[in-house]
Order: sequence, then structure tokens, then C-alpha cells
Amino acid sequence: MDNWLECEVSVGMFSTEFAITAQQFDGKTFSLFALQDDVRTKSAPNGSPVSGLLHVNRIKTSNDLAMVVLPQLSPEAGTTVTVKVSQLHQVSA
Amino acid sequence: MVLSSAEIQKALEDGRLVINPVPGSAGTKSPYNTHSVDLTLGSEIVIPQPMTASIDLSESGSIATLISQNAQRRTATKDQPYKLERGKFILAQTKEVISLPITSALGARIEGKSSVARCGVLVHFTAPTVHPGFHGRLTLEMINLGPNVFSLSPDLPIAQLIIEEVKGELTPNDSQFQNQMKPEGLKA
Repeated sequence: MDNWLECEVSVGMFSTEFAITAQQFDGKTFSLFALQDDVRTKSAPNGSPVSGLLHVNRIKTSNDLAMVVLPQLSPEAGTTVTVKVSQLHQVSA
Repeated sequence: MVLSSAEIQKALEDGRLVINPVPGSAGTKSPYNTHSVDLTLGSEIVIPQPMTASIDLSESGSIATLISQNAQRRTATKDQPYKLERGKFILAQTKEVISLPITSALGARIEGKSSVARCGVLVHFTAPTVHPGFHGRLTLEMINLGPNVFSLSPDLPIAQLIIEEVKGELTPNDSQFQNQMKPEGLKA
């Protein structure tokens, strides 16, 4: 099962990507550009962001927190962030 | 260790490195140099626009969304190339999708080509590193510092990729996370 992080999805700079905004465990937001293959949404973002899921790699879990590796570098947070386990969804690839 | 062109081709053949479309498949002149492979320009051009707000990467936020919302997009074609004016900054991407599987322990650097550089056009600056595990098109940060307008059309050989072997452990490990861990529970 793959891990997917709750996020907001907006149109990216290039057609092959989305702009992603998500939250760390403490509520601080971070963003990144992700390939569309690494994002799931129920509807395509247009003028306004939509809710979605970002494919992440969970590398450590302790209590209700998890450390995950992002698919691309976040300008605000780097490549690894700590999130609440409740923000993660397990979905088959 | 930097891979020679023969080693690059060997890495492509055995899947340690993936470049799609395969270099040279368009039937043009060889894309290989002694220790690099040429990459070509894609068709999408992104023109960042001025914003009233300043960008502060030290703050939490949504920079990616913000700069996406403040950008114009163009499509360059062979019939209608994008004209990069003097002193202007744009973003573009390589036509090729690059994959560096983490198990291959290969990294890469994107570099300019002398033919483009002699026209005063930078195709990347400050961000040449392609990390092991990367998958996607490489984004080019382009600026025309030359005295003339420069035409950008799809398939133009625009950059070269240098492939390097990475020595040592690549798998994330606990010690690597220590400095980023604030919650006490994760230090256990």
C-alpha cells in the first residue's frame, strides 16, 4: 500500500505538474511542484484549488506522527516533512 | 566518477538511466559528446510575472501556488518559436523525461551548451543538480544576457546532461532526520 498525503492541488507552472500545498504536523504550510502522476484529485483544478492526495514515502512512524519523503523538493520544507498519521491515506497503487 | 558517453549508453541499455525519448531517436546528429548527452527543448514556455508581494522562502506558505498563479504560459512551435528578448527571464523544460532510479546510485548535472552560451543565453543557473531518484522533465531557468533576441523552438539542443556515480548510502536513515525532527516522539 502506498501512502498519500492530504493536500490542496492547484494548476502548476507546466502542464505536466500541479502546484501542491499541504500542512506539516504543527499546521505550518509548505508547497511544491509535483508531477501529475504523483497526485490524485476527484476533479481537475482550474481557477481555484481542489482537495487531493500527494504520493509520499513514509519512512518512520511514532505515535501519531510520521516522517515522509516528498516526491519533489519543497522550497519551504525540503524533501522530508513530519505530518500527522491522520493526514495520510493508504491507497493501493 | 563521471560517466563517459559509452557508459551513459550502457546505463540506458540496462535501465539504470532512463531518458525518454531516447537520445538520437529523432535521427539528427549524435547527441553524445565525450562524457555528456544533449537534451532538447520542450514546447512549453512559462513567463513569471511581477508580484506585489515579496517571496520569502523562510516563511511557511505556498510559494509553488503563488508563482504558478503569477505566470503566463506560451507554446513554442517550429513555425512560431518563442522570441526570448534581451534581459528577459523565462522557465522552460527539456523535451526528455529523465529517470534516475535510486537503486542505480546515479546523479546528474545539467549544463549549458557552448553554442547557446556564445549567444549570451543562460539555460540554467544555480540549480544544475539532478538528485538520485529524480523522475521528470528538467526545468530550465533561462535568461538572455546577450545583445540579440534568441529564438526558442522545440527540439533545439539546449543543454547537456552529465551523469555521475554517487558513492555511499542513499537510503534515508534516522541520523539524517535528527535535525528536522521537532516532535519528541519521533526521536525515540
